[in-house]
Amino acid sequence: MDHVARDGMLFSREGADDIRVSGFRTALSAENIGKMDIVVFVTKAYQLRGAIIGAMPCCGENTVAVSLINGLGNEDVLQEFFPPERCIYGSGTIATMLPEPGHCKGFPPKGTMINYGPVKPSAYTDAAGKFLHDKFAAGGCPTLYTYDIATLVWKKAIHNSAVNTVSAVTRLPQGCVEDNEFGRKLYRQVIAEGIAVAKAKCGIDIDPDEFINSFFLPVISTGHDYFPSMCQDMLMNKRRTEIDSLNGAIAEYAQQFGIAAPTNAVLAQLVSCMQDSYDKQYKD
Amino acid sequence: MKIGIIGAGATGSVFGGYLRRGGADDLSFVDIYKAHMDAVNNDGLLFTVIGEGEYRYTDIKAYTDPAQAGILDAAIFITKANQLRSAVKNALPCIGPDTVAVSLINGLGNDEVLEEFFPREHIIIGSGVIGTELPEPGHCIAKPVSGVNMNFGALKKSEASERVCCYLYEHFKAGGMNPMVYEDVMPVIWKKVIVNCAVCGCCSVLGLKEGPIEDNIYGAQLYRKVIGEACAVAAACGYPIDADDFTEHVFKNVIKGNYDYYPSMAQDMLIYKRPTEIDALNGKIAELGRRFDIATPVNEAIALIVKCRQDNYDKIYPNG
Repeated sequence: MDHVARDGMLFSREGADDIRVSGFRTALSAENIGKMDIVVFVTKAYQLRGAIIGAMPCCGENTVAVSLINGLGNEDVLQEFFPPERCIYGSGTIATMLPEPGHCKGFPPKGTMINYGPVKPSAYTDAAGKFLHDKFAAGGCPTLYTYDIATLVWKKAIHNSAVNTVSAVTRLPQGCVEDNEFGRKLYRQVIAEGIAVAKAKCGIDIDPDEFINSFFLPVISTGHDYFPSMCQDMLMNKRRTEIDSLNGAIAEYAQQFGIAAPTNAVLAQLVSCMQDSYDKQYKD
Repeated sequence: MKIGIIGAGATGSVFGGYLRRGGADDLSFVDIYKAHMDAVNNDGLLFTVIGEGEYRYTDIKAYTDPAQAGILDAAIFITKANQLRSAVKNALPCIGPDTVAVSLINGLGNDEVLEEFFPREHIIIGSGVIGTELPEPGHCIAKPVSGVNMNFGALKKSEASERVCCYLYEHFKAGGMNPMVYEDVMPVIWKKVIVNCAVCGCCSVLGLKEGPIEDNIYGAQLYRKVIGEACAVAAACGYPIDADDFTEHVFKNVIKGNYDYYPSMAQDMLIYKRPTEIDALNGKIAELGRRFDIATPVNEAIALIVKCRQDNYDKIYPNG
């Protein structure tokens, strides 16, 4: 915050020249900074509730709350504090780094970089959505504001529940798992259970073959040797993972709706146990 | 009685050492580990029993080629479960029409593999519970635990199997083990398998020792589910075991004693990067679950993770 306030932010993007953007106001807390029209939450999923509580001093009766956080259930957390007609949720597909204070780096993919949409469409959400869409676009970041955000969020969550988690427990790059018959079976089981839960919880119809062929496999094949973010959390940085908002959420919703998601449940338990026990794990 | 130990690694050598210490006088080792076979032939087997002493036996014959061993009265297989079929095929030159086959290998399905080659009347199965090591060629170490540490019994009672059971019982006992022979050995095998499904499966995937898993709320749930599914499958196979009672027994009597220990399959997966016995443990439970239409998702997921990993040791983080 100090660097950004003093020098602005050095903004690097792969494939473009570095620029320095200034004009940010920074604060370490939301006390005494006035009421915001839009508050965008970009924490880890398990930090969202705490972040909202911390942000309440800058939220007024017209504030639109936006979650751009991976995983399932973030919209439910927003609605604990805001009415649905003032909630927007979604997530980005851009890889990011913060190599040092005051310096951030983006790895922009081709096409749309952020998908988001209203929990319940209203004049508030549509105005906020249009503002974000226009400013992101002018900043070089194409986004999609859509009323069908639930389908996009679920597809991404199902994808990540398969790829992130299975890669993490097998300790293998995402493509190596797909190349192996047993890894492929785990991926398929996680996806099939996730699709059934998306239907039960939100009435979303996702065709399994279409999902695998046009959503899942293209991502895996472009990053065959990539360790997804949960692997980075679990294997490299020994951090708490986002398992609760991925496989854990799928397993919990499944239980609520009385359907079976046992593979997601066991994967969630395995990862939960591991992230509690990094200090005791075998080290090569 | 002419006894052959087929698969004389750490465990095979220790079991052979006990038989020899108990007076077995015509003992052969068969293993592809040439340096170990040469050392046993040249300098004898150095047999260390922790807390008891060191012994050297110079009259054990050791072979890398089973054909040279001659026809055996009893062939005791102590390979990994996944190696048993090829070990039996390889050992056929020392198998005669009267040879009794003994599997002292952990896991389920070893009896079925032996039945592909031997009549039921000539099959004995069992398993030992004793820590073993082979620190260098020619030297094996036994780490005996108290209580019964060798269980076995005939698949189908016969004069031949009875004779071998008696011989093994007497010589294991005289050698310092605490053996037990069963009319129906299958319940004992099942219990050992269920314990191993829990500790071997979970420790291998989680990279944790036995105790810390039980200490963790999610780890303890995983143990319970693995044991619960396996007990349901055991019941379907005709061996009812109460899941709650057995889980308490495992927590109280097994894991506490091995708190700070990686079970052998976890050692294979984490330390040595070797093929594991997963197919004879969690994989077998999942397979039998499908056969009997019993849900075994936790055992199946563990089996799939272990199988995917052991196919890709060269690519695993951080060494891949």
